[in-house]
Parts: sequence; C-alpha cells; structure tokens
Amino acid sequence: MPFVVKLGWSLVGVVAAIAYGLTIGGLIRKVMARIQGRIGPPVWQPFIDLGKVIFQRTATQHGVMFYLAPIFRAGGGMGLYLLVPVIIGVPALENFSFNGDLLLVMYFIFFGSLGMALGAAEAGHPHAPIGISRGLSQMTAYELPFALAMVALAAQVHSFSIREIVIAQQGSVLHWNLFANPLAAAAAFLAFLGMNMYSPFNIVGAPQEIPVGPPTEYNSKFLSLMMSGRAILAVAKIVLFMDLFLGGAHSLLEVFAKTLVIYFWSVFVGAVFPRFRTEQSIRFFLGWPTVAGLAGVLLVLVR
Amino acid sequence: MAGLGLTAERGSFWGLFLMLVGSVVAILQAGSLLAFFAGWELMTWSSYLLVSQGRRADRAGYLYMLFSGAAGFLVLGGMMAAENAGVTTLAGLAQLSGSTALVAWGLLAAGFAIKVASMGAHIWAPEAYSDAPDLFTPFLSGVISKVPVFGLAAVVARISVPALATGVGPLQPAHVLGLIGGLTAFGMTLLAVFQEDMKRLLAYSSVGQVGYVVLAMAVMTPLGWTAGLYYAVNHMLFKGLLFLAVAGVIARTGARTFADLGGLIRRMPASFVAVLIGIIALAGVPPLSGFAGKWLLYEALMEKGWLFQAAFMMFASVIAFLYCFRLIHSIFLGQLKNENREVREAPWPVLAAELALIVPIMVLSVRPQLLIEPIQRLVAAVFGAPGVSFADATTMTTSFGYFNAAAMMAMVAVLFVVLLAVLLTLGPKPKKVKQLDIVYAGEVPPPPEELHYAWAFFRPYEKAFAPILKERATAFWRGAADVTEALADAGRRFYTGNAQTYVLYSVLFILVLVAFGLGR
Repeated sequence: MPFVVKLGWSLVGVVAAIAYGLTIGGLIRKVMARIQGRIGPPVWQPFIDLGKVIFQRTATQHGVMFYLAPIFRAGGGMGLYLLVPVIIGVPALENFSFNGDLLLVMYFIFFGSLGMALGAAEAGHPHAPIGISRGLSQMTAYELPFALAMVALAAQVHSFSIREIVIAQQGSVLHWNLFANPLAAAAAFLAFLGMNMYSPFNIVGAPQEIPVGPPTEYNSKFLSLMMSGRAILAVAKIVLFMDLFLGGAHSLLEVFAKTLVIYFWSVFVGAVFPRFRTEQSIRFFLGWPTVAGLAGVLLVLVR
Repeated sequence: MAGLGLTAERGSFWGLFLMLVGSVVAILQAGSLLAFFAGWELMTWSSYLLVSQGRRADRAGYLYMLFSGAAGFLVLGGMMAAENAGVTTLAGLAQLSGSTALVAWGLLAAGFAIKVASMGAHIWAPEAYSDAPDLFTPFLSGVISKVPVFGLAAVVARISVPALATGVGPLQPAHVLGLIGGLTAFGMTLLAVFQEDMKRLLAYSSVGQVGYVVLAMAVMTPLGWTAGLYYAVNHMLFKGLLFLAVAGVIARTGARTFADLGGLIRRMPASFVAVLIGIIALAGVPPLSGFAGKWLLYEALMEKGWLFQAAFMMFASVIAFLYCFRLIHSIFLGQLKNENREVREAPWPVLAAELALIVPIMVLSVRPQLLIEPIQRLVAAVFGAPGVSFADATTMTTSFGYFNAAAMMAMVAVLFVVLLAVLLTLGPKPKKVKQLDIVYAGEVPPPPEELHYAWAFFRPYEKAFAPILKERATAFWRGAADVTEALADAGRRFYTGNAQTYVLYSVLFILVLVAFGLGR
C-alpha cells in the first residue's frame, strides 16, 4: 500500500475513532441514567457538547504551556491509536504499528497525560496539581499489575510485538489470553479499572472534591481538543486490550462488540462502587491485582 | 563552560577539578591493578576536596570520605587477593579461579557497589550531591558516578566466578549484583519522590538511575551491556542538563526548596525548556532519547528471562514520573511568588552549557544508533556478538521486539504541526488572562503563597507506602542499635576496673595459650 494512501486511511481511522469514543461517552451516560432510574441525555450528547465548546464566543489562556498542552493531549491519544493495529491483515487498519512494539505503546500512553498535566499546572489553579498528584500516584500503582501482565504475555510468545501476540491467539476461543493466561488477564483487567478512572478510582476528577480536577481552567477550543484526545485515548486502550486478551478481531463488527464489552466492564464496576481515597486505591492495586500478576508470570515460567 | 556564569566557591576549585578529570582518565587507561588503584584514590581525594567546598558540606564531605574510604579498602582487599594469586594486571584477572576468584570478585564488587551508592550504602550520595558546589554536582552525578560502573564492568566481565551452592540451587553472583542494582533503582526512586529540596531530589534520582545501569550490566549479555552503556551515556546528558538548570535557578532565586519557588516559567522560559527536555528524557517517554534506554533494558531483561525484574523496573520507572512532574511543576508552573517577580533568566553561559547537552539529546532521540553502533563494536569485542541488529537504516530489532526512533519522532512532529494549525485557526482568538484570574468559586483567590501546592506533594503516596518507608526502616535500625548496645554492654562486664580481675584474665590467657599452642 503506497504511503500516501496509508496516510489517508489513518486520517479516516483517527476521525472514526474520535467519533466512536464520543459515542461510547454518550452510551455511558445513557446506561448510567437507566441504572439510576433516569431517562438520561441522548446518545449524541457528547457531539453537542463538543460543538458547544468549539463555538464558544470567548476564549482565555494562561501561557504557552497552557496553549500547547491540548496539542500534547490530543496528539498523544491519536499517536497511541496509530501505534495499535486494529485488525491484523487489513493494511488500512494496521496503522503505524511497525514503528515499535508493545513497550513503545506502554510508554507513549504517558505522553498525552504528561502534556495535559503541564498545561493544567501552568494555569495555577490549585485543583490541577492536587488532581495530578492523585492521578500520578494511582497511575504508578496500577502500572505494577499491568506491567506484570504485559511481561507474562510477552514471555508467552517470546515477543513484545503486538502482531505476534495476536497471531498466537488464533484458532480457538480458548487460545485467547483471557483463557490462556487468566491470571495475567485478571491483573490487566483490574489495572484497566484504574486506567479508565471510573469509580471507585475516579480520584483525579473527583466530583464534589476537586470538581473536574486538572482541566479546571480549560475552555473553548482548548477543551474541545482535550475532549477529542480523551475520546480517542479511550478507544486506543480498548483496542489494545482487545488485541492482547480477546484475540484481536477479523471484522469491524467484531471490533465494536469486543471493545464495548471491555469498556463497559469498567463502567459497570463504577456504577456500584463508591470512591476510594488515594492511598486506598494505591493499596488496592498493590494488593490482589499484583498477586494475580505475579501468579500470571509464574504460570508462564512453570509451563 | 557553566563556570563562566556560576562563581566557584574557592580558588582551588579548577585545580582540583583538573586533577579529578586526570584521575578519571588514569583509571580508564590503567592496565595494572596498582595503576587502577592509584587513579581510584586520586579520584576519591580530589572529589572529596571538591565536595567539601560546598557551603554546608561539612557533614556531606565527612560521609563521602567515610564511604569512599571503605570502598577503597574493599577494592584494595580484592586486589590484594588477586596479587596473592600472582595476578598484577586487570587483564590477568581472568586467570583467577575457585575461591580466590570468589573472594576477589566479592570484595571488588562490594567496593564498587558502595561507590555507586547501592541500596543500603546509599546515605552518602544524596548528602554529597546536594551539598557539593552547584558547579560540581553535574560532573559528580554525570561522570564520577559512572566510574565505579566501569570498574564493575571491567571486573565482572573478567573474573569467572563459580556459582555459590545454596539450599535452593546454584546462585550466580551476577544475580546478586542484579538484585542490588534493581533494589537501588526502585528504592532510590521512591525516596526521590518525597524530597522537598530540588538538588536532593535529583541526587536520589541519580543514584536510582545508576541502579538501572548496574542491573543492565549484571544481565551479562550483549544486549544487557548495550542497554547499560547507552543508559549511562544518556543519563550523563540529561542529568547534567537537569543539575545545570537547577543550578541556574538557585543562582537567580537563592531558593532550594520547592515550597519557595513556583511559576518561574514566566521569568525563566529557557530554563523551563531545558528541564522539560531533561525530564522527558529521564522518564523515558517517547519520542526523546530516554525511551531507547528503557526499551533496550527491558528487551535485555526479557531475553535473559528475568521476567520479574523487568516488571519491577517498569514499576520503578513509572514512579520516576512522580518526581519528574514535581520537579517541573513546583519550580516552573503554578503560582509565581511575589518576591520572585523580578527574577532574571539564568546566566547565559549556563544556558549555553545546557544547549550543549540538549543538542546531543535531540540528535540521539532521532538517531539512537549513532551511539548504539560504537557501543555495539565495544560489546562485540567483549562478548563476540552484538546485542541489537538493524533491520533497515532506522529500525532496531532484538529477539523480542523492534523500535524505529526516527519514524516515531516524525509521527509526533506531524501530529504536533497539524494540531497546532487546527488550534490556531479554530474559534475566536484567546485572551491571555492574569496570574490570579482563575475559576475560584466566586471568591477572591488568596495570595500565590497559599495557592501554590508544592509542600508534601505526594502525601497520599507516602501514606500508602508507609509500611516500607521511614517508620519501618527506623525501627529496623533502632533494633540493630539495641543489639549492638547489648553486645557492647556484655563486653563491658569484663572491664570491672578491679586490677585483680585483669591479672586473672592474663593468667587465664596464658593458660589457654599453653593448652592449645605451646602444649604441642
């Protein structure tokens, strides 16, 4: 496939992923409303919100880093999406995964968060550093079970290449890592709860405490980039989990089905649990999820 | 170069500095054990005198000398063990075998481990790094801390040590070394998170980063050494950059604790950019050069089969994000203090020195192979095989994965330009607001001193880790002190102060001698 065509497909993919991420956001609000006995907003509400912030009549900014942070955030999300192959075997949807392996993906996740943290902190609102301090603390905690799970998967196929990991899972549903290494999968899916930051792990944007957390000062077009970045980051993560644990996908329909299941796992947990305090959340991740991760690695070593 | 902008504390600074540089060269050139040791001692002494030139460095200098002295003795002991076996050159160490090899290896490795400030023997390093003159710290952290790693490499590679037989199974000494390196990397990184003084934070971070290098060298494969050497050079670049930038901030504001700073991005934008590049490289976030180091390290650990070590190093390196963010936020972001409103940018020679470090970092970020290829030749000379192969001009591959730095940088650059264009054209032109114009629930915001969140930044983290932190450590050392005291107390009972008992001891001693020694 010529490079220009690939670039074009990537552009289409990025726009579609943002739209999909926003739709998931709407679905979540609808589902949560039904759980709580409300009617809830329409599914397309996030698109309306996005349009509203783009076309706000005024915009304010606090400095250069504040200005550039939404670019880091959205760029980080889009870059991450482009590093994860959506469907192996369909060149248009393999993105730029030849740039690097799973390690690159794991580290590039931080790129957007780092940018947003810097910009939010420049605004000087105290909620920003408080939220970032909490977020970073929690992030390191869930990184341990997540890293253990990733190491287990890579050791299984003797490769960090996402493509190899997907190919090794073909043939039968039982070859999926979800069943092939259930312990590593448990560790990773518990870590996933922390990544998605629904309750009980919503300590960063903690409503009623530090209302929206780091992006408190963001408005207008800056906020719109942040929202798009958040949407595509969520999609990139669920596609990554689909590739790693649910055997990848062969058609777009399969992609949607699998990713929705993965995403709503964190939403349903969030619907029934109240919020942790920061240190409770850290202790949680360093407890059973880590034990599961260690056992997952042991499972690979014993085999 | 930075010396033009920052004044040395005393006139003897540059003389000692030249002597130190000379001693490092002497160590690297040394062929015989004696020459190595002479260079080693010269380095210790000149660096000790430089460290003690700091304004508050009495205690730091004392600790530095104490630990360096101990390290020197251990190294000397190891070399004497080798001399006894008839070995006088570094290259000759390869001839050692059996228990002599084990003794020499153990003593030398212990000496070097103290000198890299591995966990347990680390307390000298933060003191020395933070209290040494600002002008000297970048060199101390960037170059001097790598010399024992060189020693370690020279020794570990040469002496073939028999595996220790333990109850569980054979224990490779390299495993012990790797464990020490890993624990150092994890423990020092965690301690760096809780520092309130910016030079101390960087000091702990330096020690932790050298821990990664030790771990990588202990892997003892071509890829492990490639990772270790790449990491060492890269660490020299970004840590030198960070120490220089911090020295510039100290020179202009006179403050060293985070709580006294904040919002300096408005006054010192160039220093901000330097710290930003430094922390991204340190954290290993792509697309800067630090990621290649992390990538090599994990690939090496996985290839060796050290799975748990790989996962725990990923954990440790994410903890580094905490102090990285703290460093840049508490100094440059947040609220600018009233007393710092007139602060000027760091002196230009300091900025020029920073630029001289930024350029190689950026070059390595795009083309890490410029550094990896010479390392490969070196590694191939030791192991007979290179660690990394190049699939094409830009893609590095190992048996575990692949990484294309140039393509990654290009992707980030394209995304950045496109999104910047979108941001510039979309919607109305944003209005720049004043420092205290923030959404504050309808109230008037308090003064910057109360708004800037910088003290005890990771308090919840400290709470969560309390079981393994200070309280536990203090309890352990108190227990150790109690035991020592009880032993000393038992010893004291012999010294009754009564001359009669001393005579009795003498008689008993002679009897013992007669019974065992003279009786034959």
